[in-house]
Amino acid sequence: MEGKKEHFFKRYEILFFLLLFGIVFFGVTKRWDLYEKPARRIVYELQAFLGVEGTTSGNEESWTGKWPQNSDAQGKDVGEQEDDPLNGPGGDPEDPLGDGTGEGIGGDGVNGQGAEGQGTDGQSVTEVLWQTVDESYFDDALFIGDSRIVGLRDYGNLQEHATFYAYEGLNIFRILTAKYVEVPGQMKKISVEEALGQRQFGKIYLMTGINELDIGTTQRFAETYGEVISRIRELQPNAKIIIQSIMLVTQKRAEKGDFVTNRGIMERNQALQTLADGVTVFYLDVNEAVTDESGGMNPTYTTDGIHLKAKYVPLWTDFLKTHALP
Amino acid sequence: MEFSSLTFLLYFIPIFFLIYLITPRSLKNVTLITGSYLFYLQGEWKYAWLLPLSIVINFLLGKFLDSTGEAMEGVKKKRKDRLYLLAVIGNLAVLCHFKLWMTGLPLGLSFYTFQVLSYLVDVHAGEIPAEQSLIRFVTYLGMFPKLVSGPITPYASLRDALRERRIDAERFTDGIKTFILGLALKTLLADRIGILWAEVGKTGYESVTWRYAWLGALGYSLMLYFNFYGYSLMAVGLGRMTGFELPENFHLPYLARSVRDFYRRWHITMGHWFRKYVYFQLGGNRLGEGRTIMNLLAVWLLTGFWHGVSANFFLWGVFLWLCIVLERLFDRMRFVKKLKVLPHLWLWFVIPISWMLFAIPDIHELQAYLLRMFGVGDPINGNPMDYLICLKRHWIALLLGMVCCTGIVEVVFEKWNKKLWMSVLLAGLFWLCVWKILAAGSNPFLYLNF
Repeated sequence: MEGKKEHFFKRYEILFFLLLFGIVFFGVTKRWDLYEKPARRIVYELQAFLGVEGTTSGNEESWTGKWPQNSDAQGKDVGEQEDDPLNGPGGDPEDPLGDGTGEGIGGDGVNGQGAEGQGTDGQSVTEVLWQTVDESYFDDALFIGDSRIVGLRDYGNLQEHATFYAYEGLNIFRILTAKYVEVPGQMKKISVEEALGQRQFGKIYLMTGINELDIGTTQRFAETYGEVISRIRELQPNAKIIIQSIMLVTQKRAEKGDFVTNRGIMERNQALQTLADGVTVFYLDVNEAVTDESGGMNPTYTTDGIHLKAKYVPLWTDFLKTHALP
Repeated sequence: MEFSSLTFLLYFIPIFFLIYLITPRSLKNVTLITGSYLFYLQGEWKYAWLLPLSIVINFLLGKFLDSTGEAMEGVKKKRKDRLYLLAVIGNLAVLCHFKLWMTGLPLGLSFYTFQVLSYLVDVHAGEIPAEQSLIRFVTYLGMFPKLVSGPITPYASLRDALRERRIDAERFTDGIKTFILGLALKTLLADRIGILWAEVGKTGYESVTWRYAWLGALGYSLMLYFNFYGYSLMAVGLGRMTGFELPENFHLPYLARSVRDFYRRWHITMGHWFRKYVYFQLGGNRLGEGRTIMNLLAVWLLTGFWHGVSANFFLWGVFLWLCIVLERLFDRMRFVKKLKVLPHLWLWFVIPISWMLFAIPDIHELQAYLLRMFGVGDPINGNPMDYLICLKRHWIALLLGMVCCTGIVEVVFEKWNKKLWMSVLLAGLFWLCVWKILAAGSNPFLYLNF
């Protein structure tokens, strides 16, 4: 008996392990919805077919003719998601910045220079008189951001001047805590938070926002962005922080049908503008440098519709050089 | 629906095989056809009628052309020959119509046409009797394991299994294991190495240094191999699970010592097809060196055409033909036979170049890339350190890819196939793949987190 049982298990052990690991997989990733949704759909359609009054209402919204393909990203939760996706920019009358910023403005880190900032209290978008400078301006500049910033690092011809903390797939929720900053002479990498505690910068340029277009709402994105700025401000009381607009993608890429849309980017860019105070935090719309009349990124500048080709990254550098803070 | 899609892995496979395994033996073909058609509909909607129609017509043609068993008289034979010619031309015309004048080929049509042609030719030649059952014929051509991208399987090799096949635990679980191995090669290796190639594209071909250009070519060569090899293994695995033994499509191609050798190991079933139905039909190598070389040219031009109607595939075919002609010249020199390392270096030099011809459809872009590979001119706003950045990011993937080209994976897989730890490993790999696909599908930018 014993021998026969073993034999049976032995024969089908691969199936057994597939099932076991599958349960572990779904338990850990909490993606039961991959099976739950189609099952519910079948129940729903059966009910509809049989003419039974559906008890599970509210499920009909996404039942398209096809099988659920990627199940998209709905199951992915980064923190709690707001229920109101349309509560966009400007919907929040209060300054979304935390207390940290207030302290930063009050501090003497401003040096009087940008203090005559045109921004009055409560008015968030401010005019800045941009200056034209040469590369040495970036000697005390730090760029933090996603794959676009990686492109700037590798092909922006600023390697000898600016510092870059960038990595592909970065998003605002991980920007300070993910360990991607290299330490010279060491194998291990540290987080931006740690790195900012070690060295002071004069200007800190940020750009992130495309990878997290499908995470949370615009409001939550802007809030998190504000929290990040506050934290940077604490660590770098003398630095000016420049929020670079999320770079738009080509119209063609935007129409591909996934979460990357220019509408989404513009909505979040608008929200980002409200974070600027014109004194220590500035908003810089780099899209002026890379978009064309289509409203999106100029298709000749890019292969994948998202990233600038090496040949055209200098457009961005030049834009930064002509849009320096006074 | 791709084999490496969640729909296939999480829904199609479990549901289909559950039904398939409990189906009585006499109805298994029907279940397989139904499942295959549902599978096909997921990928091809617009021309979903074309394949069934074509299969039925070719089934009737096959029956009519059948020349086994009866002696032929003059008139009847003539009529059959004429019909045969019409059948071949008709099938080719459908393929050419879509290749030349339409954007987008109906799913699987290239592979389907080659199998149908091989069937008609063999039936007409009296090599095999025509299939008498429409169900079996549809199963042969339409079974989902090989429907979309091969392997191109001769009817004769499946003939018995179409009638009667045993699916026992051993074969079935072995099929699962083979499938997972293929899935892992595709998802964990090919897709990961593919990032390198995508990055070269992002940078723009005109801006890469020659070192980076060669790294890109290496990356593409590995990606293409693991993509197609992985796919073929999955097909073989699925074939085994359904009770069929599909032919091997790859045999360690990058260990070859010449381009000719390479194409005896790369996409083997297609090589066989061209050899049997084009090269030998034209006389092969029996009509003198000059004719042989022209026959080879015909084969390579057609191979290029089969892959796609654009200038780069034409160049690809011609380039490989030139390499092969050159090799034939080398062969006349005695000392070449004694060389050990040089033939490999030659292969690793020309094959990546040929893959760039294969990969880049735009002629200007292609030219830019080849110029960069050979260091002609300067990269536009290039970064002289780009290859180091690339190596730093991808050296593990590249190294792993190259190691997997040596055949070590296959040896380990074969030798310890029945061990418990192999099952644990493969089951783990399966869910790792699912996790990867899930992560990449929901956010393609996150691909580097792995």
